[in-house]
Amino acid sequence: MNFTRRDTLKSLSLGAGAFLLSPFLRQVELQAAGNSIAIPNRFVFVVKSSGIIPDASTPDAFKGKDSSSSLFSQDLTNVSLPSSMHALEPFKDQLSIVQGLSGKMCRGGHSSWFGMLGVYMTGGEFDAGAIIRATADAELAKLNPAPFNHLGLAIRGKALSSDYGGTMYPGITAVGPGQELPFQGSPDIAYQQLFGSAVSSSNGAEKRFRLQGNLLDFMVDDIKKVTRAIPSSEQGKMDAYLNAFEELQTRHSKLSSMKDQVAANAPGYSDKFTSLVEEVRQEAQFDLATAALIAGLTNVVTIRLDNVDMTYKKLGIDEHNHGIGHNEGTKSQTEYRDIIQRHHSELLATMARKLRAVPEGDGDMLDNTMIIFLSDSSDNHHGSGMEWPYLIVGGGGGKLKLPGRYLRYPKYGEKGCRTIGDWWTTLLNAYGNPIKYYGNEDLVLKQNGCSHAGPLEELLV
Amino acid sequence: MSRDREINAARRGLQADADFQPQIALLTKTLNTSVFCLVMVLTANLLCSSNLLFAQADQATTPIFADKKAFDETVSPFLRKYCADCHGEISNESDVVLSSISFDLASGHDIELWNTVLRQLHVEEMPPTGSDQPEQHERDAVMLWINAELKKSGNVSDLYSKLESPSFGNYVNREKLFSGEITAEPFSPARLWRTSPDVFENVKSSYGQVAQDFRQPFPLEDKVGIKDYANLLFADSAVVSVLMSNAACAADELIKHSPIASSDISPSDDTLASAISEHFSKVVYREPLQEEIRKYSELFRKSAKEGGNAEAMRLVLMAVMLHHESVYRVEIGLGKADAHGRRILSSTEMAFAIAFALTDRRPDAALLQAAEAGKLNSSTDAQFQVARILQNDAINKPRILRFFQEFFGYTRAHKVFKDENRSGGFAYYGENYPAMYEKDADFFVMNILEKDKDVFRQLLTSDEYCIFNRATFRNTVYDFYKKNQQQLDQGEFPEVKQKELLQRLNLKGWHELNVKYNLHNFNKGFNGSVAAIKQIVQEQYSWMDTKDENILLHRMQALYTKYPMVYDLRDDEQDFLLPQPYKRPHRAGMLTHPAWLIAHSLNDSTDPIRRGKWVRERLLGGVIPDIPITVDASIPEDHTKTLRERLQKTENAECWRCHRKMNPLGYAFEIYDDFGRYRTEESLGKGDTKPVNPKSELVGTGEKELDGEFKDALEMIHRLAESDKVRQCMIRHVFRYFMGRNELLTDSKTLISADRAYLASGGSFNALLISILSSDSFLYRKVLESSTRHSP
Repeated sequence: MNFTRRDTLKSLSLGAGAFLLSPFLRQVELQAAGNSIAIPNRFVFVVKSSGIIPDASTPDAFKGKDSSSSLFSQDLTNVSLPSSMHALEPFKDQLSIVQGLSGKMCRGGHSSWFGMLGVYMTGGEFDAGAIIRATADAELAKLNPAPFNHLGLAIRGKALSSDYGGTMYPGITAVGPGQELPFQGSPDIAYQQLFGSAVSSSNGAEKRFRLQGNLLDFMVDDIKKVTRAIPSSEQGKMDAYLNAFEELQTRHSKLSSMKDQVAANAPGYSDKFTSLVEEVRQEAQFDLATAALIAGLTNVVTIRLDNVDMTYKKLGIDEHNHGIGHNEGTKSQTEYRDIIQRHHSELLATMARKLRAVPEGDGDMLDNTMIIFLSDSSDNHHGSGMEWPYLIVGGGGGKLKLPGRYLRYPKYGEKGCRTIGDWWTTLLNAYGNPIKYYGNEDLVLKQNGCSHAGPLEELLV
Repeated sequence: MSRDREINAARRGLQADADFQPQIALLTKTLNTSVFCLVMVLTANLLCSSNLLFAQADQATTPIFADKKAFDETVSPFLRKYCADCHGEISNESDVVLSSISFDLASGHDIELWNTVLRQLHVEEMPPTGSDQPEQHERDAVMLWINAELKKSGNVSDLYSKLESPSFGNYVNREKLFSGEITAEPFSPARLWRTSPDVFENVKSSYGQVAQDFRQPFPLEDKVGIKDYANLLFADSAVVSVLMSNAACAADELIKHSPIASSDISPSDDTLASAISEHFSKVVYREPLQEEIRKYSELFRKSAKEGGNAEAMRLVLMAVMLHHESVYRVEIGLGKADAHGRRILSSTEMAFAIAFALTDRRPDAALLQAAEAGKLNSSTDAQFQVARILQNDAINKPRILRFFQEFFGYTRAHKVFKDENRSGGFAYYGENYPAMYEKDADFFVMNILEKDKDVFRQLLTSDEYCIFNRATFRNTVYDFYKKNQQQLDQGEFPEVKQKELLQRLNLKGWHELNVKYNLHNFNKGFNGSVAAIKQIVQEQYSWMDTKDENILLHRMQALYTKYPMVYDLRDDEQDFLLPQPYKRPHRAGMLTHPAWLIAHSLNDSTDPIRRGKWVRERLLGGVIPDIPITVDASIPEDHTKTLRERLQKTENAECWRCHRKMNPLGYAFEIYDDFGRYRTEESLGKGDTKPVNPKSELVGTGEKELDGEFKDALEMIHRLAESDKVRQCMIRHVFRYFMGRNELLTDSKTLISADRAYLASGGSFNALLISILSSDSFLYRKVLESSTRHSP
């Protein structure tokens, strides 16, 4: 056999390198193709725990109206949203609700881990399992490069853990096989990492930032020399180390060139960024994500919004999400979930409002952004994967027939039913990755003659 | 599909070509305005050529990327010859149909199915035993094609990384390993091994106060089993970003005390060199080479010119802290070459390897001295040093207990959520219950290791548990206080009394282990003195919040009241501290320890499948494939049936192929509930119960003494504990943990010697460790062409 571990490592490390180096090439491509506008597509993935109950995000006007065997597609702009989603009323023209897509090829229970965005079954109750491919958010990041190709912000770590702060691995996003992407769990550190190069007014900090280039050059040079003395079978490990510094090098030079832009859009620093109150931490991470998008620091953000171990105390909730999911506490599960959904809608609306305020092209930034709200445990506290509801805010650059629509796909197993694999295929296709099908197929559907694998053609413009 | 997307498709095809990537990378890396045009031209060329290619592909009506020729000539005939009988359209066994499998894997068709084929071929599960077997070269040709096409599709099979992962260790044949027929000289691949989180924690302390702000750069994924494998861990951008911020943080502090940094005058070359050397040897643990000093000096001079001494020194300090040797342990074999193409570790490499194997710390002075004096060059030298470290109680060796934690997996118990109401108060606040049992299990292990006799059998069968309830400890001390109150209050406390108390507390077993192995923070310093007794008495008053003597003596603080239940103890059985260790009926070793049983249970039920899987893999060396993606792994609800009855769902033909390897073993443990309590009846909810059925059998182990029926877990475990196969399987796991990799057939000699050393010493774990850590597998390295890595 000549497909070797070394090859695997090589392709892994190349993948990581290419992840960084492709941006420029793509810019060149765009210009070569005569596309002078080149407004980036932006994506924000907001991942909540404990599932999104489809019924609770369905406008009353559509309840019970859908048919189980055909696509139910309605204009959303003239109906009222559920009261817990009230904050999103002003954005109804840019809002879409997508329901009924199944994800049975993913793990059920408390978390589907990488499955939610990678469309395959992985992990157990506590571990996220093997990573077999880049997740959809990272795939979209590859297509829309920026100094921070992918920005991961987290309020909490793994689904059931009490991890808190610092670099975290919640087990939901990966840039390639075996390569999980990190999330920053401390807003203050994220602030430094994103805006530190520009907002510090002191002369020293600026000098320091400039000199850091010397260190990075030194490390890159040094590691390259050392690598030659390392057995070839182990070079992948040194390459990973090298790539990390090269990535910083590239980012460093980009940040140097966009100092003013970063400074102009940095959020004002306040104690919000060091708060220990979960809801405030959420706000802080949303602020950072929004500002980073506007400053052009990134085009793709994934926010791990909470986990089942977290309690929304500031909202007056006395039970952690796990307890709520198990019907514990003084209120009913529906009451608790309503309070939380109202809060989440406000977070989304605030972000949308800020993006709408920034003019871009013929419209505003919200027109070119897709905020996708979803859960790693699909439709319930113990997600069944029978359907995977999405709530989307933003125009997405007009690439999909989504804004202002309510869509409900046929039930699992019915003729015409579709999956989340088809959904992510659609997104990837619409934004420049022509992959025929992304993810694992649902073999049960396939065996039962319901061959689904491919984009949702009806959504493509 | 629009024209636009077609062009994109072609572009992507080219970009995905691995051979093409480096050129692009090179170009873009050195990009400036002058090469910009070059890239433009190049890219334009690419676009043209890819369009051209795409046009041709359109005409040929087949996508250009799939190697259909090889499919038609090699793969398709293979499938027809060896697979079609069972996996055709009609005889679609296990719902796998290969007759219509698409050749166009490169475009993403049938990826799952091809992955399945690849795995079945590699692990030689298919074609099944008894049917016509393909030649190795035939298998290889098909696997080669699948891998190549898979790569084109932008995917990669997880098979190869899995085979090097701990859960796939058992794929190497045990009979062959221990047969003695393999004469190859053992070695480990020349390798880099990423620094472990525990080593980092220890390094951190050498940075002093400032290290408080350090973050862990080397996290290990929280997974079941052995975690720290050399080939699985990389220092990637996430690691580097944390290292950078740690280094910056430390450098900020260090320059405050640096004479060079606080001066405006440019330092002489010698001053600079000695400052660099000093820092370097502290951080990298060796003297820098002349070349290294030169490079760091250069970095200093360049940066000092731009930003002054302080900033330049800061960068140099950071650069040293980011040295690759503080990220990867280099074990490539820098010693002498031998006739078998191997190199022995250099004395320094050996010193580090031995130190990290046992201590989580860099080598101690004795190891470094031995290395320097040329007394660390052979297996005998290694034996001497390993034995020295093992015998010296003053050297902390946390890696040993960690092996047993990872092997048995009992330290996951606290992560399994148990409902407080259902248990009648199994609380999850403060130190939660399962975490207490994990500690108990640590003591159980160390108590056996302390005796170091017949270790594996003892671990599997001993019914002597360490049951240390803090509340009963306090009660015991309080009782003693009440009986001697007058004397104690007057401070008259003869030594003989003090001894009496210590004896009564019977801390001999528990306390000594605790002090020696640093297992538990609770009352580690308790010495029976007046002050120590009074402190406990004060605690008793404040925790119990009463003056009622009856309560103070005979009740437990709420947090500990449910603690005894998993050991089948009544509250009144343990008002006072139990003699340690304490014999329990219906128990046999670690697998019936509450910590293990809870760790291998579900939130609200036992988990015969996981328990059976554990026994099959860790004790019998068996292999169980991943759960097929089509399986709906839910257990049907039915309040009239026991869990075992409900699991009958798994006994239909297609499930049973794998489940027969797990369920029968797991059912044996049904004599314990999901809290680890012994039971004869299973509660079905709504107050109903039904007798449990733990009767089962072992089949197909290949050993007569093992196979056959057993009445419950106890009988099964006692039988397993007598087996050579089980012992050897445990030794294989020890090997994996201390080598940081799966064994290969070439490690046969090492494993056979290790097994012999263990038996000859009457089951001494220390003897086993000395054998493994002085083996050729541990001491020799060989540079491997990766292609030989998987073929034995």
